[in-house]
Amino acid sequence: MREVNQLSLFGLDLSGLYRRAKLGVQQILWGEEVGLRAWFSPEVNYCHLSELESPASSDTAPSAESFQVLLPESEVLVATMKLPASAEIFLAEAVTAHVESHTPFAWDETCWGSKIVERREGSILIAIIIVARSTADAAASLARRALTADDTPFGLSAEAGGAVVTLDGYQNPALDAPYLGNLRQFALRSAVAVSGMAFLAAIPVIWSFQTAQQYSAMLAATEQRSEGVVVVRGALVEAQERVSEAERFFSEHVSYRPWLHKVAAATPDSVYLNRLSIKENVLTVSGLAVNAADYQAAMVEAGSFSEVTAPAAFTLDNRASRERFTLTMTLTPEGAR
Amino acid sequence: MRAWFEQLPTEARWVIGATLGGLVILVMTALLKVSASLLDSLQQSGRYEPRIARMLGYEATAQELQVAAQAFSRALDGLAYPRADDANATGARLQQTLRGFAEEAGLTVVGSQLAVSAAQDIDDQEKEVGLFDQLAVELSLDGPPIALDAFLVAVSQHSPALATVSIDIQRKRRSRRDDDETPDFLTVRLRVVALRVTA
Repeated sequence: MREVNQLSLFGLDLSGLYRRAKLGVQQILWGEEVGLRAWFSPEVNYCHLSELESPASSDTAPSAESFQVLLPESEVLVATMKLPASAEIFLAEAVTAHVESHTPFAWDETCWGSKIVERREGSILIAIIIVARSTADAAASLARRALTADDTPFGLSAEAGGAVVTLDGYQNPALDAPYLGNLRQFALRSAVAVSGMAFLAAIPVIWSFQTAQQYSAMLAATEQRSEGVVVVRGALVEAQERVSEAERFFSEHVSYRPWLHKVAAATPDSVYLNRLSIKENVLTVSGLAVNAADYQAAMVEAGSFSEVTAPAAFTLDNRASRERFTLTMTLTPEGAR
Repeated sequence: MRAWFEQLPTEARWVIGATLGGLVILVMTALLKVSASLLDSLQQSGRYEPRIARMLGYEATAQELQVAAQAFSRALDGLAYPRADDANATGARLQQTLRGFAEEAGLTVVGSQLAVSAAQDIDDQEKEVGLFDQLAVELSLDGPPIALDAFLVAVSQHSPALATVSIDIQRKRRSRRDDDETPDFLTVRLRVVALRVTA
């Protein structure tokens, strides 16, 4: 029962896990609960050993692909054993020990078979058949003779508690060949179908990838071809931007010459200008006038200026007999036209 | 299906569950990878397509672009000094030109000063930051109004364009020796600005 195992990870013994995984695979492949074997395996032909002994039946028997030859109940010792379901990984060892303790034959003369016949509430019920090796050999010889074609595979088994239990060591490996062949074919077909679906799913991806590659190559070629034009366009954009900014700058700074002419035209001969300054669009004039208020009114009426104001009061210059004034005004865009 | 699964031996359930789980993870990973790849390729194509179309558009209008670039380059030459010239050298040349205009117009140049404002020094609010240096020449001139007019005409006709950003005109005081027939003389201070394309 004890087993030395090298399977470990960070000090954890993984042998139990490995045995359970292996048992799970066996249950799927060979167990009746999953139903895989029942689905893919051809129907099993059973015949009693007594049927093979009569000459009439030996002529008709070989028509089937394979046989399970049932041993007579009188030649078989049937036993049952109950185990916890968790101990199923040690089933072979437990059955061997059970047979060893229950066989009426010498150990070398004993052959046996077992089968789980029931699973219930965390335990398993196992049916065990024990047969004398000489009996099994005689049955096998008889079955081999009885079957017309020698290569017809057969196995020995016996009925135990309503179930057919196969005898270990007396099963032709070719018995499982149709099942394994069908299973292999199904797996192959499934793989082909999955591959086909994967290929179908990959078609749009391949197509879009190739398109992207083509676009990439086309872009590189186009960029290389139109390198000169791109440089010209870059220069154009830069020049446009600069021209636009320069025009904005010069449009904000009006030419003063027309404004000087407008001031001269709007100023009567009786007004003497001592100082005139323009900064941005604000014009400031100061000088002497017979009537500074009249001059202010004249500037307003000229229409080219807005916000004509006098920041200081007009004062009379006695020496010049004229009013001293300072006027500020804004140059209007309408006036520029 | 559930009843079938539940009646299976524990180990078989584990193996089937692990296999199905692994398959689902594998399929999901593959689907995600395929979707990501598909999306990436489509995005790539989506990015390239307009760029190629733009390039082809450039190629188709290469002649027009060339002509337009030349036209704007000429227009820019009329608005700003080229970047090839050094800013200080250009400013000095501008100052010489303005002094020449003043003298030709009949004004006496009393003083002049050049100030070069690099693009990065100009107020951030002004959009020409990074596009132009400003070459400002401050001039002090004496002369009759008619000469000032002629000077302003010369300034307005100069290429590249010049902007007079401020002007201050004062009547020069007459001396006692001047009679009434002596024409008025003005003292003028003005600031003229030119633009220079930055590198």
